[in-house]
Amino acid sequence: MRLNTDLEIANLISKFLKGSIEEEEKQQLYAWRKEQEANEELWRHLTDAEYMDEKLGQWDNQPASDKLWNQIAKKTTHHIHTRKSYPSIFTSKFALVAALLVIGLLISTWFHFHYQSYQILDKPIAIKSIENLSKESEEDNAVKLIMSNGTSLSLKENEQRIIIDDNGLQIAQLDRSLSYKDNHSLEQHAEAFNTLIVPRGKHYQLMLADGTKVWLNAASSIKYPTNFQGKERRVELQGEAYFEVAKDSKHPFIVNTGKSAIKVLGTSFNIKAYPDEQSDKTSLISGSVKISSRKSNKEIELKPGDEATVTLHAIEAGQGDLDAALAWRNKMFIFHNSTLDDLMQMLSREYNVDVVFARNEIKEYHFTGRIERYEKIEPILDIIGQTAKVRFKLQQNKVTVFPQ
Amino acid sequence: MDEYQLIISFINGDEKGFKMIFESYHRQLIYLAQGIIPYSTEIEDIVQEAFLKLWDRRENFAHLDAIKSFLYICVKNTCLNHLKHDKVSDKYRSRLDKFSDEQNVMLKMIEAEVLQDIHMAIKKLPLGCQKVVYYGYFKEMTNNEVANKLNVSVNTVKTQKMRALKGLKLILKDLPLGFVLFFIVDSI
Repeated sequence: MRLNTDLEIANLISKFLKGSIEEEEKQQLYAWRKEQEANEELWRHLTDAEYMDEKLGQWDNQPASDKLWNQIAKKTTHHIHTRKSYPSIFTSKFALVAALLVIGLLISTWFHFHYQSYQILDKPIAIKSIENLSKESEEDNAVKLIMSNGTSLSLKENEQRIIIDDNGLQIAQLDRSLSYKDNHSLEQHAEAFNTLIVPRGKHYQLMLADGTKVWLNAASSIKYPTNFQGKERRVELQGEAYFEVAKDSKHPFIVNTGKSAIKVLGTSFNIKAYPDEQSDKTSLISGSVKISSRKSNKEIELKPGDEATVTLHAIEAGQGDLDAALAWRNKMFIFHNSTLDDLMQMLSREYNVDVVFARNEIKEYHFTGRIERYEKIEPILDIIGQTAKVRFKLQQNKVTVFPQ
Repeated sequence: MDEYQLIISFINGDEKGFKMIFESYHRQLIYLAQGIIPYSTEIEDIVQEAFLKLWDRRENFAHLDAIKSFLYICVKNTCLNHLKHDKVSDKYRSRLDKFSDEQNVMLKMIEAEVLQDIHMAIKKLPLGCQKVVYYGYFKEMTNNEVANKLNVSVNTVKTQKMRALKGLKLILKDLPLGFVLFFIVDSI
């Protein structure tokens, strides 16, 4: 179906009617008219005052439109999502790259948890303190933007505005996203940096000045230049983010985390680099990346589908489980033989709760399964409680885990 | 809202973005459906279904063009299916022949797009202007007649026409000579 060329013809006809058509476009239009009689006939209609008058007179029917909209809205935006499946194919400008996506999931709601074993290790792992980024964000737990001059701004949801910083830079804020593209900024001599802090319980999206898109998971922060100026495009990440990097082979894109440096050209990948965890994990969806550990000089290259685990001393790469790595983007949690400790840490970040274990041993219970990301934590705790030998007590923002 | 912001809003499930998309496209979709199955009472349902399908897949779309194409294809296919499954009487059979040919569907779409575009262009004019455009250009009344109809002075009508020409130049066939002169004067 030559949809695009036909919509293009419509555009030309409109331009003609509005008197803004160019000479070359007139030729295109003329050629189209001569292709077949039916085209010429349509042309005659659309340039006829009486015909247009009749059609335009009937074009608008506000009450009918409102009624139709209300029916649609009722079934969509007004509908509380108890939908069980979320399409997870992320098309974007880089559709060619995205086409290589390994993920083609349609995730169902069923959830099964079975713990493979509950092993009591000789040395129980201590409760890890979660880097509490939300401590910096005040009581209201809002997403924060820190500008180059140090001033900090709360970004509330459902807010739409243009933020103008001290350099005259325009940043577009829309709901849960921020865009630096088309920022009409003045020429700057040095790169100015902004930092976006996403506390527990929140997610955010960012579009950098070069068109790179970043989706940030809870308890994450990213520092980035408002305009890329150097030979390299560098950002610093703490936490977890999914990147779709704009292609620019002349300027490699580099993500620095506490433990690793990830160098990419134009590609989609997920990085999990929480400072309180032992290792960073990078999963590559498409394109290619080179990963190096910050402490050692060892560097490895990933191909799509691979995953690299970086600790302070070592890098390992292998076949990745993209399903699990990207579960957060699909509003799911997926576990493969994860400990209850890991699980609770994930829930802690996602739902902004503190977790306390009544007995250390139960942290080592292992779980495999997948669960939908519900709006609140209660259903998830219910489900875990039903299947595993643990129970939970939830008081305000604190979850206590007991053995049954 | 520019296209990027609109798409983000829409993908995030925001009503505002979705409503703007609805506003931009639903009339063309209704027009297309009416073109293929004018006797049907299910046109609203068909268009509604297309928007619901779009909503379900909203995360897959990065451009308005893709959204527009998707909606058109949905509506077209559903309408053609209706045509095939309805009782084959003479009028339907000839319609089926007419519209199984992609070309005619395309022509309806082109027409719909143009009508929407011109409609929006007129709507952007100030209200007084719109009325003058309607009566002066489409109804082809003289300035005096328009002045009487709208209860304003002839000067006002002339001023409004000038304004309209700045915003929207309608070049339509068979306009009385006066209008042609008007255009010529304006372009000097």
